[in-house]
Amino acid sequence: MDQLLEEIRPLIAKSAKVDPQAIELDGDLFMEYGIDSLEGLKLLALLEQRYGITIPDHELLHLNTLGRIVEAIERARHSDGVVKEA
Amino acid sequence: MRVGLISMSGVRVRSEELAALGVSLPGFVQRGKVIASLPSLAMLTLAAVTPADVEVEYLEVADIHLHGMRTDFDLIGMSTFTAMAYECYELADRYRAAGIPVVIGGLHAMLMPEEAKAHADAVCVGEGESQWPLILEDARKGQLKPFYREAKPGSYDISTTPIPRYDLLDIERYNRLTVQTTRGCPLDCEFCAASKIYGRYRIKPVEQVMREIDAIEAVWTNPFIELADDNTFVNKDWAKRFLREMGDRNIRWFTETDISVADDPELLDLLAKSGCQQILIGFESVAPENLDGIDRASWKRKRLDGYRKSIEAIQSKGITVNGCFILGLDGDTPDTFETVRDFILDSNLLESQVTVLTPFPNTRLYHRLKAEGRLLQDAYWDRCTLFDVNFRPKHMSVRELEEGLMFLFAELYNEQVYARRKRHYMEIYKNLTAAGHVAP
Repeated sequence: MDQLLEEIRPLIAKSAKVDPQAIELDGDLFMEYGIDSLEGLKLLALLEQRYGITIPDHELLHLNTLGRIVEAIERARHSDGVVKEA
Repeated sequence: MRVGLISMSGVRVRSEELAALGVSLPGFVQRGKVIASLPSLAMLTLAAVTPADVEVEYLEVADIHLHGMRTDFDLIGMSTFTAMAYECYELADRYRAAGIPVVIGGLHAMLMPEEAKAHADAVCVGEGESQWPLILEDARKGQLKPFYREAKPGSYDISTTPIPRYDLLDIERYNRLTVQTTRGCPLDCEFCAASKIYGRYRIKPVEQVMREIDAIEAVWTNPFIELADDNTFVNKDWAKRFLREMGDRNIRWFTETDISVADDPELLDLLAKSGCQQILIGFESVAPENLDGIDRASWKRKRLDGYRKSIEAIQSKGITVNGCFILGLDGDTPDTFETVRDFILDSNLLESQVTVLTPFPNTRLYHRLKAEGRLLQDAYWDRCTLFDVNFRPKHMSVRELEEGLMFLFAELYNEQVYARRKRHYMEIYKNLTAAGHVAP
């Protein structure tokens, strides 16, 4: 989990054009860091490609923090009982 | 001399039923918030043509409601669109009662100058850039004329428009700033007020637009820009020069245009590389009988068969299309709502906007419906929200149209559809990265 967190934090920071350390676990990507909705989707698409996963569609609406994204990726990586590595 | 320029932003749906449904739907709420928080480009432009010895202040009407009406101005300028006209008049009456002269302009005043005059010392009927300096000169002398009109409407050269005073804004409160690159639209649809008001279609030089964007970047380092145009890409050569310039800027932006952008692969490539996030296109209807004669040349009717292919061509480049549809056109029946829903979902439009036909005052549509005795009231301006019904539809009842709109709201703006659209965009983006068209 921690490794995933540190991999994703810089990607979010790049989208938000801020320092990675500014991205907190429960900070709202859209309201607090100013990422627009399309940038958010590009980020999720990138993460799906990188980790070889598919996040269930119904979860997409609720992925508005670093913490939630990391949890969703963890769930997707374990969804078939096999941990997928990036 | 101190002048207050008041922006009448924000629109409230009058139907309580619709308002209650709307606030619970994610897609509807998002676009509504964006529109409500746009600053008034008209007021910022008037500020820019105000002489340096006049002190000018930009005010949002919401702040006046919140903090009360200030009376330390020598003149008040207000600009309003139709839905906010009554609120504008009420506020104007209060300023005048406090002894402060008021000038009203904007879209509604241009359509209904005599009505606006009952609440103002002067009405600006022409385009503000040319008339405002004359108004200020007369106001200084205490000799405001009742109306300020251009000798030849639509003749103002927009290449001489000064850079709007974006520096007057408290940037933190806006999520988008507007730039106007064109004025008017050559299609001249029956329902459209802009075509009537602006006359011929006019385009700003690309270099001038870029100077305006420079001014925005001077006050906001990572802006989102909304082009305040009715149809940006009519002239494709101009469009390509503009898009090449935008491609170097790394700015996110949005605009309104017509479906012809899909015909030009080079233009689409430039659009995709320009930072454009979304284009809004008025499809209006998927019924041929509705599109026949909707614009003077029935141009949209001729494009109907290609709608799906064009949407696919644009969106495959990573540009989302916000497709707009009007309900209550004369060919519409109670079956239309399901047809519109099916088209929007099947065509994979990444955003959609459904509104009811709205007879804005003094448009061709207004005069036709009035002549046919189909207007529900004589004056209904606060109901010109695009969601409230103000006329009798031809092949259904008013209630059927209202219910049809609510049906579509529920069918199109729910979480399931919203999630499906997000997934569709993500798959497009993956295809583009896999093909090397965009860097991940």
